[in-house]
Amino acid sequence: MSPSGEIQVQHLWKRFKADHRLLLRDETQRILAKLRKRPEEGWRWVLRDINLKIAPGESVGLIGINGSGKTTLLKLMSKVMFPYSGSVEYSGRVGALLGVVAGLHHDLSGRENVYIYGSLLGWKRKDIAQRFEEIVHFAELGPAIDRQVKFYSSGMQMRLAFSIASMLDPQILLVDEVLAVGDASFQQKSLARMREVLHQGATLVYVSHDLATVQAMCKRCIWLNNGIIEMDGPTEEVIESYLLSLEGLISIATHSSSEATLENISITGKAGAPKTGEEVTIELLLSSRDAANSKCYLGIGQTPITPSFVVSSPVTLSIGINSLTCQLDSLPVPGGTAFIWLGLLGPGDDPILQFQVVGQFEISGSPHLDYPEGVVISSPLYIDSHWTQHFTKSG
Amino acid sequence: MTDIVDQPLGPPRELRFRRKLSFRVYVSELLGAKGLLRALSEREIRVRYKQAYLGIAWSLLSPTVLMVVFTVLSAHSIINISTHGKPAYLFAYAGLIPWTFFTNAVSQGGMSLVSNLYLVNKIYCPREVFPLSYIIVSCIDGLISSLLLIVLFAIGHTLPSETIYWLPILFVFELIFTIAVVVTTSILVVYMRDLRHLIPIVIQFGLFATPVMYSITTLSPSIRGVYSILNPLGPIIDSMRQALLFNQGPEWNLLAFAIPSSLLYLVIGYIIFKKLEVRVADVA
Repeated sequence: MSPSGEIQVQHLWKRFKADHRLLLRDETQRILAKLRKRPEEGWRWVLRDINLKIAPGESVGLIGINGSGKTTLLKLMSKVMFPYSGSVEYSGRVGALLGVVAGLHHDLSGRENVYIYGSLLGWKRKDIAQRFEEIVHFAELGPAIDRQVKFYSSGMQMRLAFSIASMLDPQILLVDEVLAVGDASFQQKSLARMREVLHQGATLVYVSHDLATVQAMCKRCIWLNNGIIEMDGPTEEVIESYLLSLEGLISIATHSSSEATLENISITGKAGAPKTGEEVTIELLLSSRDAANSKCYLGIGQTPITPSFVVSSPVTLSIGINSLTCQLDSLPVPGGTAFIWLGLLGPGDDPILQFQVVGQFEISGSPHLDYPEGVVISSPLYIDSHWTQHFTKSG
Repeated sequence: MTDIVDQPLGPPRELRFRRKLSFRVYVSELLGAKGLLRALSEREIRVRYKQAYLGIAWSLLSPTVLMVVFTVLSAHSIINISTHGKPAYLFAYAGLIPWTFFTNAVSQGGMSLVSNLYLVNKIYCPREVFPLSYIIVSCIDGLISSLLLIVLFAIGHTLPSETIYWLPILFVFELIFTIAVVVTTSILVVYMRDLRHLIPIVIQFGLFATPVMYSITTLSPSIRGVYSILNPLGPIIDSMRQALLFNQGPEWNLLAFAIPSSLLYLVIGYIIFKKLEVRVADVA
């Protein structure tokens, strides 16, 4: 008997019909093909030979692009789906938060739903009664609990469903993208609640596209790509590799337009390589075909999805090569790979150069910033910058 | 993302997942899902009566309407069916209660997996709880519609027969057949959605093919055995009426065909259900 909370996945394969739902038609075709010993057609492997072992109390993030098999793996783990081949074994009580809102019935009141959804999740009625107040309080519903759920906003439904589902004390918690709805404060609350479950010794498997929360919740991370495990290791490393691979997916358009071209961009620290917390200098060479009053935006971030901060300055472009220097007193980005963004807007916010990733560089320094586990930083920052500009030569 | 349609490679054969048929495991899983069964039935009842003006009275409507039609037709001799000396309304209603229970269970329970796919997809449980919960709801409806019997007996100035104690046992037989039909239908509808249009037609046909408003003695004795194997509901419903109105025990000579065949239907249906259950979540 494996210790409670352990999950073991061995040689897991799963396939779906590629283009439509599986119907009896397909079953008969499948049997016919089998009888004629012809290869079966139109199936797509969603998971291919997945082997995993998750220890009790471990928190594991599952990441990957859409269609990489994350949700399918989670459904197989929760035994909602059966595998094509291989096995999933676990011990202990499983709480699966897969699309939690689905468990609510719209014609019933919030109160009735608490009881019925709770029983659906395997609770005893008197346990629910005991925690009823706690659930309503956590969901911030107040008197609305006696209203029919169809009159709830989607945020309220989400809060109610999450509150019910997370109040049970599972030994294994499987979570699929539950935080998609709900406002920021409730997202924080639900993250806190998940951490609490973790602290009680539960095993967590968390699927999300929100890498920041994965980083906050999970020590280990598994990157699924096309149905196979691309990488399995410490969250920081896996996310970094994942982001690097994503960058290849984002098509980087040419950094030039009919009006201007970015000739060169460089970023240097005091002693060569840029370093966290130290002064950095960004140098740009722009060739312009027009003289224009414009505004230059520079951003730096750890992901090619969104910059951590953006600085800007008015710039007077002349015809020919323009040199621009931007200096930051202290680079506020932790160590690791970072991306630099550039955009130029002409009068009337007419884009001369679209704001986009123009390069990638390494920052030396600790990849860890010190803040409490689970905190997601997402508010804009003001960063001081000093700009200088000079005209180099006529085009 | 590269598409891997028709990828030749696959897992080695010996790793293929095969579901072992183990009734012991199924039964213990089902017993573990008692709370779920209760919650689903309760939800169904609450939802049903939440926005209906007539509420509980709806359970009475369908058998009552059929009973009135039958009574009026036979009073004007439009149809000529022997009620063996009992008032037509009592004769018909006694057959209509078990029949309505069966049709309610089949028409709602048959659709139970399809109408609950959103849950089937999200929550792990033995999936037969969905059809079974609708059978429970139909039981409650049946009990409610039985209350009208008291009124009908009062109108007819008669009392039920002493043999009424056979009814619970006969109901167990009916339950076996009902579970068999509902469980099989529910899983087949998932894979064959067209079947849902067939259910009401079969039920309508069944009303005439089952001795609900006529006695089984209408059938010639030579075919009653085969008939009981094909439609176990026939002798069961007829025996129920005999026990309720005519002071007669169950017709064991026919039930001897009906009960084994019900059990066979149940075993076959359950195996089909468990075999097809494996891919239900993929279909949705």
